[in-house]
Amino acid sequence: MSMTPYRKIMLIDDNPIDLFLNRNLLKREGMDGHFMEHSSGASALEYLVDYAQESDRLPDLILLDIQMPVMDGFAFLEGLRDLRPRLACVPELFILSSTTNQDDIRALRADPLVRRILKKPLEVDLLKKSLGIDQF
Amino acid sequence: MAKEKIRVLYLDDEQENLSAFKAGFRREFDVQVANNSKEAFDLIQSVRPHVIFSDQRMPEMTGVEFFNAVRQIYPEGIRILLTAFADVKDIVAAINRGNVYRFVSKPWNEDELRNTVLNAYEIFNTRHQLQLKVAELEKANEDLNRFIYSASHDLRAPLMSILGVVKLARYEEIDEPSRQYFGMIESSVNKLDLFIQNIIEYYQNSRDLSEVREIDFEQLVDDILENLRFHSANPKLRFHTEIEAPGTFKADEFRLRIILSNLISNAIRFQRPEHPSPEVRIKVSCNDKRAEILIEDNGIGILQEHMQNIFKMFFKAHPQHSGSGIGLYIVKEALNKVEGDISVSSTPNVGTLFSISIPNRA
Repeated sequence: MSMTPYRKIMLIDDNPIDLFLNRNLLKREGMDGHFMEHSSGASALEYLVDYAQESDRLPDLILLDIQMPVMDGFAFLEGLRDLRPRLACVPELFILSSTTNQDDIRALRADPLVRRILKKPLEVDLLKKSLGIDQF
Repeated sequence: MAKEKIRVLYLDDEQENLSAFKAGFRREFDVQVANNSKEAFDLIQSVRPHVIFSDQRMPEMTGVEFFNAVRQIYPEGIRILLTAFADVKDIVAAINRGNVYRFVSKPWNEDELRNTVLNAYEIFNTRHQLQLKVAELEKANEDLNRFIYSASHDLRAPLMSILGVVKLARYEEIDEPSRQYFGMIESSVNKLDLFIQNIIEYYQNSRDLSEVREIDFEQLVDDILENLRFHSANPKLRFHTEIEAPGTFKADEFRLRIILSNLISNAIRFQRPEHPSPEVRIKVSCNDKRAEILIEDNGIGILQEHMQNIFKMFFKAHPQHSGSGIGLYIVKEALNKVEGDISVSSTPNVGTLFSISIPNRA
């Protein structure tokens, strides 16, 4: 069983059911590290700004819901782009989406911050495969 | 609602003409008269007449010159020259350029002039109604666009949450009946989701927009297969993809995606559940003129008697199967938009082959 570097996961989603789901699925797949949950892009960004220099408080992996009412996923990405040079470590970022809008998908694929777009509901196997790990 | 009175403006440097005109028509129309162009322009701004008459020979400028200027600021008003002189060449030129609607000769015949006003008003009105309709349609179209964009998320997101919870439930120790119930919830949600996606596709396809792009068939098919991975009841289902796409192929990517994902989705759904090795074969070969795409399955097939109905809206050969009945209809509509062709052959309980051909826009 390999030790994975992904022990601090930030979940950003305005839907509490989806937050619950994703946390549970990841726990079942061996994730026993630390979860940070935010229901808006704004509060997630605030957290990252506050702890930008503290790599032990920063997440190694972010799962971002792309469509949220208050600050949508795109605005979060903009904020993260600006913040990036100040971050002690840059997390892997996956977009979780239920959209079929091809323009959005194309824009996200082209974004260097985004590792991959995953469809909802989350398939942890696909996530693990993309990260090159067997287990969290 | 009382019918509005027709508003008429008459510009002439000769006061007697203005008085005669006003006297003759002020009962049936709302008549304004102007002696010089400044007065006329002021009245145009304040009154917004439906019909504007002007003399041709005036000291300041000709009627044609006046109307050229009016057209720039108030194109809706119908412009008619009243002239005693046969300055035919200038007038005809102005009419052809659209600056003047027609001319009427002086001295005028009251009945004829009255009819001229009525006809001109008719035209004003028709154009106005058309403008209103177009504005309405544009707004409706915009609303539809916004609906499609948010429907894609707001309708589907809760469904995805349900599927996620069902998945989670299956991890728990639950009894057999509950397991079955969850299976039914899942299958109903998938059905609803498919229907929503089809409706969205239908409306998106019916708009006139077209996005011709270079197509990467490998990525397109991979994408589609990844999206459809949940939809197979049979875990033994295998996909075989063969893509021969040298050179550049360009087409409306959005519609091509709709066509392929509906056909592949059907191939996945209409398998024979007991079949030991169900498979879906996708073959693409394209050249500088066309792309030929084959989608073949070894599923339940299509009965001969259904063949001519399968592309009809809401037709389902197998009502008990999941599916909206609108998929093949959308495929046909999308193919029409890209000027492609489709043919199908099938043997019940053996399989089905869809073959489509799409022109290369490169």
